[in-house]
Order: sequence, then C-alpha cells, then structure tokens
Amino acid sequence: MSSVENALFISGHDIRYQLRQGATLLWLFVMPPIFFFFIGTVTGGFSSGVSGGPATPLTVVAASPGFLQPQIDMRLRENDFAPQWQDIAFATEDSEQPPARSLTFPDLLSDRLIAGEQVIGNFETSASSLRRDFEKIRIQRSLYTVLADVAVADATSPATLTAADLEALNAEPRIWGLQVEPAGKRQKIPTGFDQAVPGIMVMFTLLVLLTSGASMLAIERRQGLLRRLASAPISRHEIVAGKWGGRMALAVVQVGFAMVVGTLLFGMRWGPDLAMVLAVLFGWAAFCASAGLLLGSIARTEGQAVGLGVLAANLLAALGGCWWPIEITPDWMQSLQNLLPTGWAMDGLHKLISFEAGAASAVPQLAALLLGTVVLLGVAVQRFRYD
Amino acid sequence: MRILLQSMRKDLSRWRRDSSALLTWILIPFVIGGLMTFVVGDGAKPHGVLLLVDQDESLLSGLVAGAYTRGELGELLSVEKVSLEEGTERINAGDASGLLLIPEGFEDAFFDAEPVTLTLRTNPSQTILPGIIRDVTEIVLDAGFYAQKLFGEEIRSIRQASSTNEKGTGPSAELVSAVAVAVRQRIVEIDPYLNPLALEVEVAEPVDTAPVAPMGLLFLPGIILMAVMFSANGLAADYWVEREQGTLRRIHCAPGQLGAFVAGKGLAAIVVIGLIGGLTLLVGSLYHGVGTVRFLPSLLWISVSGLALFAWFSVLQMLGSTQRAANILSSLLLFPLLMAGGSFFPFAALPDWIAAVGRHTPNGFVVDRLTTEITSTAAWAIDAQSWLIVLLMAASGLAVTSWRLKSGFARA
Repeated sequence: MSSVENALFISGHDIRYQLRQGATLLWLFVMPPIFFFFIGTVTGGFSSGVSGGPATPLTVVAASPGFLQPQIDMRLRENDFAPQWQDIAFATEDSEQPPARSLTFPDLLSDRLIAGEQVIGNFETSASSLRRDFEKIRIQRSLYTVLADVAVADATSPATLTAADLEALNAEPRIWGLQVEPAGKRQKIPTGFDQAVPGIMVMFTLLVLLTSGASMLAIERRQGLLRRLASAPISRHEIVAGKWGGRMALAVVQVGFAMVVGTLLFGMRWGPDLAMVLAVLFGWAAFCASAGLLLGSIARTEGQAVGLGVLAANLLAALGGCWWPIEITPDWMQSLQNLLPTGWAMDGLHKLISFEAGAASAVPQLAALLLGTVVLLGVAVQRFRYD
Repeated sequence: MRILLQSMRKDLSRWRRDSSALLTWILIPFVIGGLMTFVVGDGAKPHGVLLLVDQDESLLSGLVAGAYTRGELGELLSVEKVSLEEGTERINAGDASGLLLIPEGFEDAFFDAEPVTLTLRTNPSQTILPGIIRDVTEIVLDAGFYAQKLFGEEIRSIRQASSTNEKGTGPSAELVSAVAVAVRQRIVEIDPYLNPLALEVEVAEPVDTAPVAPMGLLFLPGIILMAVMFSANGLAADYWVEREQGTLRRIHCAPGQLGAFVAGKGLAAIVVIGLIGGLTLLVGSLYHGVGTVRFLPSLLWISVSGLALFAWFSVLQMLGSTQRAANILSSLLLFPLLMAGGSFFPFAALPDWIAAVGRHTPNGFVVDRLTTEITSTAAWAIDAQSWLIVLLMAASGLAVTSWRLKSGFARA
C-alpha cells in the first residue's frame, strides 16, 4: 500500500468508527438544528424589537378620539406598531384574554388637546422587561412626533387647528429625506436565522472536533490501539495524516449537514459566492481537524480532552462572534476577534454572505485559516505520541 | 444511618479525587457567565463607528454630526469624518456600523425649503447599532423639518437681507427686530404644547412582577443553574460507575440498605452542588453587589433544587440500556432544558412563548424563583409553595431512584 492509501485507510476507519458513536451523532446531527432554532428565534426577536422587524400588535383604546386619530395611527405605524383602535376600554371582568399591549387615551382626546388640556396616554404591555423598554421608546417617539405635528400645524395655521391642517403638513415634502441602504450588494439585512446559522455552524464544528475528535485519540492511546499501529508497517507521518483525515471527514460531514439543514429548514441564504463560502468552510474544517488532533495529542485522558475541548470551543466561539453579533461586545473583544480563528471564519462568512462583497474579499481570512491549519498540524505532528 | 453516612463520605471522597470533573462543572459556567457579563453586564455597552461624509461642511451639517456624540449616545458611537471613497471602502469591508452621507446643499435646503436626501449605508452584519443610528438620524431630520416650518420664513428673510446688502453691514436693525418678534410669537404659540408636554405617555408598571433588575444580574440565576445542571447530571452518571464496580449489586444484596445508600448519595450531591453553585453565587453576588442577606436563602434554594435535579437525572440515567445511551439521553434533554430554562438568555430576553414554556421546566422553575430571591427587596422571598414543590420533587426523585435500583438496575 502506498502512503496515501495507508492514510486513507486509517481515515476511513476513523470516520466509520466516529459515525457509529451515539454521542458524536447527537452533536453532529441533533444539537445543531436545536441550537439554530433557539438562537435564531431569540436573536430574531431582538432585531424585531429594535428596528425594521415585524409590526407589533397594539390595541389603542379611545372613545371619540376625533381628528387626531389618523395622525396617531400613522405615527404608530411608522414606529413598527400595528394599531387596532377600540372605542371602549377593555373590561377587566370580561372572560376574554386582555390584549398583550394597549394604549389608552381619555375620551375626546383631540378636543382636550386643542383646548389646552394635557392628554396622557396609558401604555400597558405584557412584554418582558427588555422588550418593554424598546416598546416604550417607540411609543414615546410616536406620540412626541404627533405632538410636534400638532404644535407646528397649529402655529402655522391661520385658524383653529383642523384635520386639514395636519393633512397639509403631512403632504409637505420633508426638506431632509433619508435613504437607508445596507452596505455591500445584499439588499436584505440578515437577521435571526441568517445571523445564527453561520455562527452556530462554526461553533459546533469546533466543538465536535475538539471533543469527539480529541477524545477519540485519547481513548485509542489508553486502549493501546495507537501502540499497535506503531508496530504496523506504517510510518508516523502516514498515521498522523490518517488521523487528521478522519477528523477532516468528520468536520466536512458536520459542515455539510449544517448547511443542508440551515438551507432547508431555516431558509438560510449563502449569497452568490457559494464556492468561496464552501472554501472558507473547508478551511475552517481543516483548522478544526488540526486543532482536534493537537488537543488529542496533548490531553492525558479522555475527560481532560472533553473538558478542555468544551471550554476552548465555547471561549473561542463567544470571543469570535459566533454567539452574538460582534458589534454588541466591548472594544477589546472586537479587537481580539481579529486575532482568533473563529473571528477569521466569521469575518470571511460575513463578507461573503452579509455583504456579498465578492469571492476575493474573503481570501485573507481563508489564507489565515489555512496558515493556522498548517501551524497547528506541524505542532500536532511533533506532539503526537503512541502511548 | 451508618450506611447513609458511609455512602455520603465515600462519594465525597471519590469526587474530591476527580478534580477535572469538578473543575469542568465550575469553569464552563464561569467562562460563559464571565463573557455574558462582559457583553451585557452593568456598564458594558456596545460600541460602533459612524463614518461621516460631510460634503456640505456647514454649520447645520456640523450640528447633525454632533447629535451622535451627545450624552449616552456618545458612549455607543464614535463619529469619524472620512472622504466618500474611504468611507465606502470601509463600510463595504464591515469596518463601521454605518456611513452617513450629508450631500452638498444640505444647509441651503433648510433655508430655501428645497428637499435634499441624505444617504445612510448600514453594516448588514450588525443589527442594533445601525438601528440606533437610523433612529437618531430620523429624529434629527424630523427636528429640522419642524424648525424649518416654524422659523424658516424668518431665517430666510435675514439670510436674503445679508446676501443682498451691498454695504456688507448685515440685515438692518428693523429687520432683525421684526424677525425677533416673529420668532418670539411662534415660540409663544407652541409653548402651551410643550410646557408641559400636551401629549404625554405613562407606562404602567406590571403589578405582579419583580422589580426590574440590571440585565447583567438577570443572567446570574441562569448561569448558576447551568453549573447546577452540569453537576447534577455528572453526579447522576456515577450510578453507572457504581454498577460497573459492583457496588450496587452488593448493596442490593444487603437487606434494607438501598434506601440509605441512595439518601447518602443524595446528601453528597447536596454538598457538591452546594459548593459549586455556592461558589458561582458568591462570585456573582460580589460582582453584582447582591446583598449578603440573600446569600443563605439562595444557597439553600440552590442546594435543595440541586438535590431534586440530581434525583431526577439519576432516574433518567437508569432509563438508558447502556451508559452511552444514558449519556446521550441526558444530553438530549440537558441542553434544550438549559436553553428554555433561562441559562443561555434570561427570561426577560426570551420571546414570550419560550419564556412561558421555560418557566414550567424544572430548572426554569428554579431559575425563576432564584431570580425573585436575588432581585427582591427583602430576603427569603421565595414562597413556601415553591419550597414545598422542590422538596417533593427531590423526595419523589429519590424514591423513584430507589425503586429503579431495586427493580433491576442494581442487579445487572
């Protein structure tokens, strides 16, 4: 058998063995979709609470609101609410479920406001504390804009304020318009699953390789399998190459499965440069395979490999921007991301998927990953031991 | 009683020797909790860069640029003036949260009531900071519109007088005086709407929820429960080791000792979980400044709840046909429970439906009450019913564990 055949024989055996392990299958095929769903749902909720998400249902209770109703309605809609107007207050003794959000005005609100009486809207929401704050800001912005409309229309109107004055103000062109567009070529800003899937995929590839990939080497060492391989007519380099190949195959299975699930179940769009996305993920898989091999060579026991693997994977994933958009982290974390392999992978994927910046834009990240792969593999070859 | 104490001492002695497992159970929540605290903790704020291409270079464009660095907003954003080429290159490379282009003619548009459009290009890999930049820009531009509607005519007349005055002495005293009167008149007209605000909003505080706590503190109960869940699961897997070593078979053969053996393991679990959870609680409490009077009830709650979780993880372990199958089964439950139960994100940050489901999971129930204890104004805030529930959960879990041991697991 040639050297390549020897290495492929070991790789093939390793990947077959790994894919028969229930724990590996769990982390390879079951956990990623669960994490995609959970993280994507939660972070999708964050973005809808901040800007541009789906409109928030709101019950507006006001008896005879008068001519200000359309103005308030318009400003609420501009701030991502979907108001539904009710004439009477919800009676608490009714058996119906109360609305999740309500904004209640005193009766005759237009008349009161024009008469110089202060009108106070009472906002109630069942949202949790974080979302409550976002909703409060949006409600305040809506009503204060209405107040500015009323003040300006009244001041510029020769007679008592009417609906026609507000319509005239609304029809006036804004002297300063704002056109908002995402940078890069992509027109739809990725949120929710589009943000979560690449991050979780990068994290799980590292996690599986640093735990299953590393611990298997420790087990083989403990069981004497590596010693037996050492006595076989196979060189050290062939064995290491074979072990690396087995881990690489595992990483490729992980990435491939996550991409298929991300696309089919979560509608993930990978951008126009799919080949480069695959190249970056291939580079990432190679890096993880080398890291798994190195950790397996360093760890003394299976438990040590798993413990260190879980810790390192979580730490690198969080600091590299896999858990959350890196924008929300402090400055030092943002700087640190540029030095971490998880950061290189995420940065490359963002350029290709979020910015659609072209294949060439991710070349530096891919090069960094491949260089990291070679360096780690070199150290792993040196540290590889049979017992 | 002797068997109970021996069982407890044996377990504690064995766990003391397995320092790598203990360290993992402590370190994982510490690492995750530490990072979470760095990111969302008290005082931790995101920070981004707004690239500004000011092609107008006027007083008004300068005022717009200044709006992003005032007050708390200045802690979130830094404004960098750049050329269009540099700005485009940087925003396309993801090197900023947004790029705002103020075109030439921005100030003239205000005076001449001629529309002009600003362009904001946002970083598509970010969500929060571009949203804030957009909101602030819209508010500033709205303010400009209203100011122009109110005072545009007067400002225009001053401007025209300045530009047409051949002597270069500026507008006449009469004109300035007339404009001042007109401006004052406008201010008087709008004053009743603004002082006090004629349209105000009051946000009703929910009557049945705990006081709003800092976001960083809200992560603490979930992180503690993560440590507790990892330890409880790891401790429960020990039944397989005991079985492999033949301990369970020997105990099963000795009449009437199985119950004491299980109770001893339960006591050992309380000690280990209490230590791990207590250490996490102590560090978290010191960092967040949680009052010392809440430490004891919180620790007690963590320990008793930890026993209940340990007992039911033990039952789960014994459902597997092999140790590997049992580990897969428990992992399959452990992580979804941690997610829904508020260990990855606090309930306050979860979508309502996930939070509602999560509060009904065993660990979510514990997190919910622990949050109450940690954030309430007085100590011992957890109600008696909740204490009763976890005590019953622990007792029933230990009883089912004993039954499962007797009915076959210990004999194998």
